[in-house]
Amino acid sequence: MKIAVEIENLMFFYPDGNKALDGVSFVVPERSKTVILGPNGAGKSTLLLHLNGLYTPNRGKVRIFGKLINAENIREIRKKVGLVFQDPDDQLFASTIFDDVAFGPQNLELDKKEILRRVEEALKAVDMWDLRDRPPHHLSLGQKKRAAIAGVLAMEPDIVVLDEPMAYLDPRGQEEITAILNRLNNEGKTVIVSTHDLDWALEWADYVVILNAGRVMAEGDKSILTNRRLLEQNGLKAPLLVTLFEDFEGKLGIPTSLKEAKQKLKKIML
Amino acid sequence: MKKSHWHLEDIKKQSRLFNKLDPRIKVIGFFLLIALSSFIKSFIPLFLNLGLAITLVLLARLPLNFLLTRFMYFLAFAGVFLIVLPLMTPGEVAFTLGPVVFSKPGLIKGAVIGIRLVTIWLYISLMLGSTGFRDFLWALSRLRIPPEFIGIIEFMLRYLALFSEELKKAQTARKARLFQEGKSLWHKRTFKILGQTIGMLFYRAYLRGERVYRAMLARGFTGRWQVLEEKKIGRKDVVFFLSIVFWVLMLLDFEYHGLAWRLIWRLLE
Ligand SMILES: Nc1ncnc2c1ncn2[C@@H]1O[C@H](COP(=O)(O)OP(=O)(O)OP(=O)(O)O)[C@@H](O)[C@H]1O
Ligand SMILES: [Mg+2]
Repeated sequence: MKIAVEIENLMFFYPDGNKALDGVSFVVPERSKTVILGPNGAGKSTLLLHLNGLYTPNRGKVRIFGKLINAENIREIRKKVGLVFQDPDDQLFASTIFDDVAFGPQNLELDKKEILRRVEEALKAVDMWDLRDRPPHHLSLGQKKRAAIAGVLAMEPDIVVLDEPMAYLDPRGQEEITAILNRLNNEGKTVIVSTHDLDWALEWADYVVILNAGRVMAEGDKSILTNRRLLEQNGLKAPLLVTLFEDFEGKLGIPTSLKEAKQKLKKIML
Repeated sequence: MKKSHWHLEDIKKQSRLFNKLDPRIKVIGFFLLIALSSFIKSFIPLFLNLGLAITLVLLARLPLNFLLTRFMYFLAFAGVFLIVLPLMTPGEVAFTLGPVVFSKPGLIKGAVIGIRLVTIWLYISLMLGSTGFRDFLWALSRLRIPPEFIGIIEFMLRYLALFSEELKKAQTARKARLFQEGKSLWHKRTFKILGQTIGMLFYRAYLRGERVYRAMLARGFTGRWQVLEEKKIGRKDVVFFLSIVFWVLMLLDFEYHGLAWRLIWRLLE
């Protein structure tokens, strides 16, 4: 297994003395669908801002594809790690969606043709090409989120990091984003998502990190998400499927996706 | 779409005649017209110029709603000034309204400035409405306006909208908790709440600024703004530009009696 991100004993204090990360260590496998779970205030956003060197740790190390982030390679790192912010209004600033998506590739100083190709591809990938001439304000939140994702896709990063991409989206919006994330992963990218939606995490993830109060409480494949005690100790609620199946665990085991659950049910019915 | 939220890009699509012209030429052309409007003082060129502005706006078929909503903002700014001016200027009395005295020179001055402002406002609406912000900013950058300056305009436009949205949200949230604005401006609690709101907005704007900057760094921002497009200046643009130059010279000639011809002779010598 190759490693995309490796974090070692990361510590971070905010200027007001607030200790947001307290010795965080974990790895993210390359080409994985990794979910970072944790309750409000766990330190998810703070952690993600370390992944492309926007925050500098007070202690500890962040490695991207084995390379330590430092002042020399920071541009290289930001090219490799694309970060989609929690609030799209923080990210979209240009007067049209098109210009906003072009912003990243322009900073990479690509030639014009390549920039245009990337912008078109990214906007089409999130189904926003028709809205390219719109200014970001007065778009719906789902559209803004998709535009923000396009802005990062156009950088063609190897690792895509998204801070709570599902928050405030309606079910269809969530489905659309999930489909985009899956497509990215199929293209060979490592996708890292923070969320507190465990039902979604159980369905989507293949690697899970649980964060609470600035520490990693568990890390591994998604069987972690069937451990109710662990989840509840860390301020999270067990996924619906787990709650449903745990009474029959002896007979059926606990499924880790809707599909698996259906199969199990079918088997006992027939 | 709500009327107060016109997108300039939509206006541009609806408008005729000028929307296909090169943005650079348009910006320079209209800038000349605006400069001209702020120069002339005599009534004939003033009215001619106003007439041109109105004709062009009609020809460009800018949506009337768009013009009207913007005119309201414009009046709020300029109106007070226009009313006060005739009162403040001393001179021969034209008429009195109770204790208020309107002087003749004051009225004339007010009329001149009023016509000027309306004309300038029409030209600006025409320029922005037929160009859209994006091409407008593009034109500025191609005209060698410093990129930092353009970046600031771009930010301002974007975040002003966000800012007013946040203000509205705060207002709604207060209303939802049954807050009533005081009956007089000096109502103490109203003042306090108002102060808090403004303070909060500024603090939020500051935090937002930090996050925005971080988001820009995340996409590789190095402090340099770049321009994507190239556009070509065509024959239409030249015709447009020359007509404007002709018009400007003509009105200057009117205003300064023969100035234009003297200038032209100077050039030919
Ligand atoms: N700018 C800041 N200054 C000081 N403390 C902060 C700042 N931002 C966050 N914190 C604190 O750091 C801790 C971690 O915050 P963070 O935003 O990373 O949590 P999170 O897991 O992303 O939460 P959420 O799910 O609500 O987004 C919290 O205790 C928070 O109060
Ligand atoms: Mg967060």
